[in-house]
Amino acid sequence: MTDLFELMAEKSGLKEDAKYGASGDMKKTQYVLELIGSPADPDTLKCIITSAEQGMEMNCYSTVTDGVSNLDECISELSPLSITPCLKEADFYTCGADAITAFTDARGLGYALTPRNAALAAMQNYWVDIAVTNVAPHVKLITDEVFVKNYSDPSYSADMQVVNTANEDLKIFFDALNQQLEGNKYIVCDKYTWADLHWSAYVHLCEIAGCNSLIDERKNVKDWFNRIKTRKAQCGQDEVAFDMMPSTEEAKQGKLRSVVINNY
Amino acid sequence: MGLFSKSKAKVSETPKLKCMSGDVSSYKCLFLASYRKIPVEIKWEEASILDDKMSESLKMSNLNRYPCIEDGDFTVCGEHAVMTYLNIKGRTPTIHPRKARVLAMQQYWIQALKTKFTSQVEDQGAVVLGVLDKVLTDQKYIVGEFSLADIHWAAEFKVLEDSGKASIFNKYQNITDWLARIKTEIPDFDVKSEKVAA
Repeated sequence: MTDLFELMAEKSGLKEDAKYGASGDMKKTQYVLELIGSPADPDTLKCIITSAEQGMEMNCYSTVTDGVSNLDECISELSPLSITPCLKEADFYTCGADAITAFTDARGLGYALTPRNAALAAMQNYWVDIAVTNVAPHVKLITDEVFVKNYSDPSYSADMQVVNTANEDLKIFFDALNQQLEGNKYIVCDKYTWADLHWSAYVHLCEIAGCNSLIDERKNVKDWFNRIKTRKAQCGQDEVAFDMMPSTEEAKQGKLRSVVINNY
Repeated sequence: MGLFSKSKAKVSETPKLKCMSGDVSSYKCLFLASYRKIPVEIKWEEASILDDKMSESLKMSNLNRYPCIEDGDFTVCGEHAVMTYLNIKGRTPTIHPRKARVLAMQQYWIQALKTKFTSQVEDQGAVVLGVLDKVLTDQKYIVGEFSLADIHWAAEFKVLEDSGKASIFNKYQNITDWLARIKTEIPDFDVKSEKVAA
């Protein structure tokens, strides 16, 4: 089997000798994770945030800038059902945001993100469900117009009618989030949970795609998002997980940032 | 109250699980409660009912997120949330693979069902079932040990069976064998009862 990760690592310019632990000075006894995804894909962003939150270094390769000519074929070798993004850890491969985030959460240095209390855990997943089922399709319409279609056709300019309609359709869910955040530091309680992680990926994409009004017009959402942008990763290291998110420019260029932990 | 005085027995009502007839998500929750022996009172409702109250209270209309569980003054709706609740409640062990790699596989197969399997488009369904059948060649369960992936897929097959579409999957021998095994391990697989488990 072709090792797509190796091919993309080479294309990304991540040379073998720059790889984590290659010089023998391992910072901790764990492998570096490798991820293949796209900056306009919320699932990829969720994997990156989880990795940063849990203090796991992750080399990220973009399907846009680091892709190989037979990318789809290589991905279907890795993931027979074409579920993406894909992750590699040593000899283990897995695909899909649900699998990758669960794996990274279990492997990582911080406490697990799911609350132990049954009611809080259930509420967390109610909000995850809203994000994945109801918010994601509208965000996809926006990111497809603003970023994705440009990847294959640089002259493409976004159809603003599609963007505005999706923006309008998202209002009901942002209103509900705003209501939920009344009196709460994070979405379900005063602790950061999966609900915050999922929503922050979608909210970030809305923001960098130019739909800032969804955030700015809702005080609780705005305050919550500012907290997300500055909170230290829960693994205890001096890192802000949100700093690993792509900027508007990077998303337009199809670039992904790798998760590098500097402070052990 | 004295140190050794008898405390009053805690009176707690059985949680109510509001399910929707023919709904895969409802069966997933029902199977999980049954497997973990969580006593729940099942209430079946028709698909024509309006929004769940939870979404309504947040002014999100037409989400129709089912099933819902009501436990005392706590209510939550939607398969993901209700399954999480039912998997933590109770005294029997939580279904949660300890190994990170097995946990990842469990999530992979749950996502594969949600995003890649559709019984409406036969070709697409066949691709997923072909891969699943191969996985089950030398494994008793989807990820090796019994997991939530088994519950998710069992509920899907249950609804297909009940709607006369078993032919979609019963040509796959390993899947058929696995389903026969699952049916014996989930006490209420075939029953639409008022009460599940004791």
